[in-house]
Amino acid sequence: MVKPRYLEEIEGDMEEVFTDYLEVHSPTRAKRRYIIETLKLLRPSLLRGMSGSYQLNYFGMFKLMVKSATRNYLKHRMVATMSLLTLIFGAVCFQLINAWLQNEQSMDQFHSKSDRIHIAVAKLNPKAELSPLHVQRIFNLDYSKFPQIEKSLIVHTYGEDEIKLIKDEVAFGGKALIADSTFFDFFDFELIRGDQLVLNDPSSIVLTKEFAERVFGNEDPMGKLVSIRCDQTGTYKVAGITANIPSNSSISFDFLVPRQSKSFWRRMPQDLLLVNENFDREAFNQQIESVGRQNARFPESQISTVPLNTVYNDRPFNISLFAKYGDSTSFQTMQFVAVIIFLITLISFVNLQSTLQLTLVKKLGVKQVMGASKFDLGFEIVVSRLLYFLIASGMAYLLYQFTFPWYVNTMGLSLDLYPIRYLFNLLTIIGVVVMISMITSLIQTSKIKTMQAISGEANMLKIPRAQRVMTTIQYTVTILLLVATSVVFLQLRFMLNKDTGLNQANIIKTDFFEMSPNGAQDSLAQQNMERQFQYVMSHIAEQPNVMAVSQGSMPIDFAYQNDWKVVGSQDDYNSINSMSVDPHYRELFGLQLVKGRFFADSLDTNNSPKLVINEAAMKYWGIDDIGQVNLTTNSRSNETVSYNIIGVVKDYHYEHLSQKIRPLVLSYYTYMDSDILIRVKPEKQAEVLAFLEGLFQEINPRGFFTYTAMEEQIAQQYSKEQQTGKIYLALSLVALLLSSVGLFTFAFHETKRRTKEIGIRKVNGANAGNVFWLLSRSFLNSIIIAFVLACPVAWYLMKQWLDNFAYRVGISWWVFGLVGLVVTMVALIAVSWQTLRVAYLNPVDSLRYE
Amino acid sequence: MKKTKLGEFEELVLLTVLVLREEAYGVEIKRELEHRLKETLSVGSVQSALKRLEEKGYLDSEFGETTLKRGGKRKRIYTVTASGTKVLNEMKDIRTQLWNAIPQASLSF
Repeated sequence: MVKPRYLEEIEGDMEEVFTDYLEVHSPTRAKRRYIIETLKLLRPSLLRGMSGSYQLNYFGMFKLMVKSATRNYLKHRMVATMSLLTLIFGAVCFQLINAWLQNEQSMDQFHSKSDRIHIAVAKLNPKAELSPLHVQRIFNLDYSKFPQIEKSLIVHTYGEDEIKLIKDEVAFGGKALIADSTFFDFFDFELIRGDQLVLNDPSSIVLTKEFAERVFGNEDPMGKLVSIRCDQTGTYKVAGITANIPSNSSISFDFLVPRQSKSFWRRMPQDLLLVNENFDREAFNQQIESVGRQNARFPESQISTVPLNTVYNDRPFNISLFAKYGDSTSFQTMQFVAVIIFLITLISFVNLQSTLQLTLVKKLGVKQVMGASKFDLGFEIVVSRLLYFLIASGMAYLLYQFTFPWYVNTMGLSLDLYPIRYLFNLLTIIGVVVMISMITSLIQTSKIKTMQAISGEANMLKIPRAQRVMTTIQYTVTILLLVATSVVFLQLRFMLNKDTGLNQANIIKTDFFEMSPNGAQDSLAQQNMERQFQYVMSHIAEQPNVMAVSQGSMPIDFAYQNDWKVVGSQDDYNSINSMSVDPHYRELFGLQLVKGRFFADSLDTNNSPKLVINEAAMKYWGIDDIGQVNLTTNSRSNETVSYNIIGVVKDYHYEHLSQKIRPLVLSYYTYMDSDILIRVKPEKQAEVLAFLEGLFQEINPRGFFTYTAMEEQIAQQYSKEQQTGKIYLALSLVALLLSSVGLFTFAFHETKRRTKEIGIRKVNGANAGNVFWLLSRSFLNSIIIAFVLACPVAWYLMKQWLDNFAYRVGISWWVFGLVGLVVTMVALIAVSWQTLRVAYLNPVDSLRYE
Repeated sequence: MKKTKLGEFEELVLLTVLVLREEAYGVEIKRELEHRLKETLSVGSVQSALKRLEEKGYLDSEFGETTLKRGGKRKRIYTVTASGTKVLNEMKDIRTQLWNAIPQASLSF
């Protein structure tokens, strides 16, 4: 700290003074005085000056740097613009993926107690699937006995077509949660109007903002009266409005109804538990596991709990309370793709900037001769990168603003449109990329010797091998992505066009009758409904454009699980997919019989103990003669009934094509509220729909007519694959573009470096074609290497992916061939931009170059 | 007068250096001054005065011998330069002139 030339003297003085003090005072006191003396030495005249204080400020230098960076940009407009575009596109793409990843990751985390919420579940027997039942009532489990459970919440979920909210005689369909008053203690859905205690009042109802706008338009909904209709009816007062459900919530609803407003709701509810810190899930599960066995009906039941936080990703069960489930595979894939995009951006930008730096070597040399220190040269690099950072950040943010809504719509993602939240991320990505390129450039510059630089020797610098390797890696990854995209698309087309063994064209599903109200035993309403039902069914069947009508489950809807076993066998009951149908089902879908007969109006009545099974089921139970074997079930109350198998249908696909055809049991078991399936004449769909709507209004004057076309539903079934395909396509195109930019810069530098050489070659008789190939060859080499590297990896990865599908396309060689061709073409275009120019240059000009 | 800016403390230090001759180094100057002024001084105050005087060219210095007491560090012995002596003389003259200019009456208090 002290000025060096005073150091020895003052140190000596201090020592001497210290010994003087020692003679007079005690050692501690002497030390204290010594410290005080030392502090008193801190005077400007004695201290060393701040380094660099000889220069007043850097402003002038900074201004010069900005000017020179701008001039560089203008001189090498091509490379500089490409650097900027690389940076912007790369960062925006990365952030678009990142937005989705973050949304997935933060799923349900906005509930401050999300890690303390558990869902009670049960297995009726050890082989059955987990199901979130109303454990409290079915198994008589009293949650208040457990000190570790703070609160419990019982929620019934009514889907859009199961409950209607009626305002001024107009019915609106919406998803409703019938919840206990503890709902807002569990979940932190933001209430815009009303308070947390709103559900305590049995006459109040809470709407989401979006739903309230749908129902009330611009009116103020607070305090207005509405009524609901499902298996219960009642009138409520709007007492609360919640903010729209955020995209990172797996639970969704349109309105909330207090559960205590009615004594009985027909739908099976779920039990949710809010636990405190003392809760140990393992121990608790053990404690309650066998509670249900006291009930004679469920001697093998197991009760346990599932944490809310695992539901989204693990999908332990499928219930409508949760509007969506995640998929850890696609999360990992996207994470991987995000890293790839980032790497490609990084490599491209660093390569572009290093190449640009190579062309500036001579200038740097001259500057050094004029007296610039290495520090000054470094400072110049820093300033120029800072400019890139600022410009790229601004433009990336703008681009992001525009592309984000488009991205959300095309990809069919559910993401909240708050781009501002992601600005910070954009800045970080661009910052990191710029930083790394800055460091490499600084290292690069520090290695160049002044003499070399001036003599122009350094101008002859070849592209460093590391950069070539980087480009090869980029291309490897790009080819990988492109192959993956092609395979995904091929598989998708295969699945959409595969013959499922069903006639699935021109089929419409609709629903005329609601679940009959709970008190439907009162015969007048029931009789009235029955009359309407007969009227509807006969009217539809009479329509000339309708080819077939049936009631039953749509083959692509979820089959429900029933437990079946062969009568008299020692086997346990096993869960088998089951569907309810009526006798016209076969005609509607064109099912083919292998053995026996299908249900027939003349021979069978609804609810009779007869079954039709598929071939897979026949094989599953090892049945040879269907007349000899009867099946029985424990899922429908009466266990002693044995069911005759009257026929076997040829296997058809009733699930996602990733599944092999599993055993299926069809029974004649329909209600008036079962779905009505209609096959219409081709091209006549619109007329039939108009007719159906008229009929529907006749029966339900206040309702909304809704229908589903089977082909649309199938397309939707594969929407996830479609979405994956689209994302891959977009990203692999970006990857290809960015990689080509890298190659382009190499060609740019290389042709510049070899201009003179080419002149000489041309003078000696080479023609433009020779020169073009000479220059292009070296670039194509790196693509060939990349191709050879990428193919086996791509083949292996895609084989793994296709293994998820029971029915899949083979990976044919032409996919690789096509991808290779496309990549080579794009690369050639990028390279020939430069090489062709040089190849056709007049040798006189190229010899005079420099 | 403008050229020969000399603070009061600096003047005292300069005089002490003259008094001490060969013994004129940091701590000795401090000790001498403390003795004469009957107050404690810090090393820093003396040292900064010394440095300032050296910068103004009134003092010259060279390293002396090492002693055990100083932990092996050398002393820096200060000597007054010609301009130093000159400025001291000037100061003394000015003071004397001023003293002489004071009317006898006001001195009798």
